Amino acid sequence: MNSWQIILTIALKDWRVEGRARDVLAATLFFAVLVITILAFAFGPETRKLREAAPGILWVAIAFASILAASRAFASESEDGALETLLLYPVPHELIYLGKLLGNLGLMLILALVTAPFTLLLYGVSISGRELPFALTVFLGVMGFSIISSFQSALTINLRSRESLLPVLIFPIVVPVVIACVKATVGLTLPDSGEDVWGWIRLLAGFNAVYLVVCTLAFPYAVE
Amino acid sequence: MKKLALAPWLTPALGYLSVGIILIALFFTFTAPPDVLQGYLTRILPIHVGSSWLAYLSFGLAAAFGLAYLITRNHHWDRLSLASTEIGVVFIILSLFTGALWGRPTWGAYWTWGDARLTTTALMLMVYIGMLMVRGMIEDSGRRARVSAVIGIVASVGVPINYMSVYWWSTLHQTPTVSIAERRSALQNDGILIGFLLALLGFTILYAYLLRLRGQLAAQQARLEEHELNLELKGVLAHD
Repeated sequence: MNSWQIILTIALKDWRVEGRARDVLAATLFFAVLVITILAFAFGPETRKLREAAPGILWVAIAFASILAASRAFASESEDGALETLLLYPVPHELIYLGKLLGNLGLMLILALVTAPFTLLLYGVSISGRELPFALTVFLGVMGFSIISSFQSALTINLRSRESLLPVLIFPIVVPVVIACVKATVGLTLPDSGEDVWGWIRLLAGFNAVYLVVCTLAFPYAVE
Repeated sequence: MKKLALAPWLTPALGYLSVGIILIALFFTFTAPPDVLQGYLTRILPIHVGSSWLAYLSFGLAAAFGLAYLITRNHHWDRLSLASTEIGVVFIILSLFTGALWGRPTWGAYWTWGDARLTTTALMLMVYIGMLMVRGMIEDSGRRARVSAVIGIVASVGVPINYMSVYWWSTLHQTPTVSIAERRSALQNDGILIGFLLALLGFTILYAYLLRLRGQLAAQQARLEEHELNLELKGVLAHD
């Protein structure tokens, strides 16, 4: 097997588990939709205000949901020594991280595929003509969350009070992603806001590249 | 024990030296004529930049010590990494505090969320507090050292981002006061420049002092734990 096949095999394993149990998607989707709805109530019925708040609300929902998904990503591996078995396979541990990352990213993209249109619809925001940069922003943003959350999830596997610890470890690192995503989304949904959309997308790409390399190289030490 | 006995005078000497240099730096700063634009406000500069520099240094070296631990698996490096992180947290708080005091008269607010430097600094503080929290939750010393080394390395990516944030986003916070790469200094007279450079030196020596002090304390703690474990083991054996 070459590296890509190994990564894909691990991701497929996670997707198969998810396809049978559907617990991650069910929990995170419901949670994200709930956040979007509650915040709509909290900001009141004024259409203009809601439209301005929509980018922030979308990314808060996705960020919180990705934390929820992250703690599940390795929770299944902590049962019955699954992680130990996974690590015993004669493949580089870096590839195991990339496989787990791809598995998590796939689920998060499905989540984003539902929550992003849902938010645009519910808050009356239009992105017509700018779908492609919006899709790119969503993809890069979700990827940034996945890179950090998969890594920190693996690092804290089997720890007591892990659920409360994960947000502390993940959020401060991914805040640049949240800021860049919100700014790019503001630029796309409110074209006269003057945000430099491509500048923020470049920042997202740079963040992902740097952390992908650092996390991949550090992962073998995180799980040994 | 041998390692501590190597130079028992060195640690306190570093402490006195750093305090002395920082006092001299403050003397130069406070006797320098006021800045044309900021007046006497620049007198906080040596402390603010000094503690920010020390925080960068601590976090950068904490990552380096963490890496050294992962390679050598010697707990000596883990203790230094812990010491360095704690020093960094203290001085990043001091940096935020002095920055807030400076920001109020110059920007009109103690804190602003619009500024990239401020935001990334607050985030770095949170990351490292999280790391210290994780340390407190892991009992197995090997895993604790390994996990905190990994977090320290990943978190250190924030240091260059924080330093470059004033160039990349060009928001409120001013760019570096002195830049060797750009051959530029915003300091208008020799007195404040000497004070500034001396303060950087003084804070660097202060770091070495605090690192040794905290490292020695951690080593003693480790020995104490080992000693208690041995006593317990002896007690168990005596009962059998």
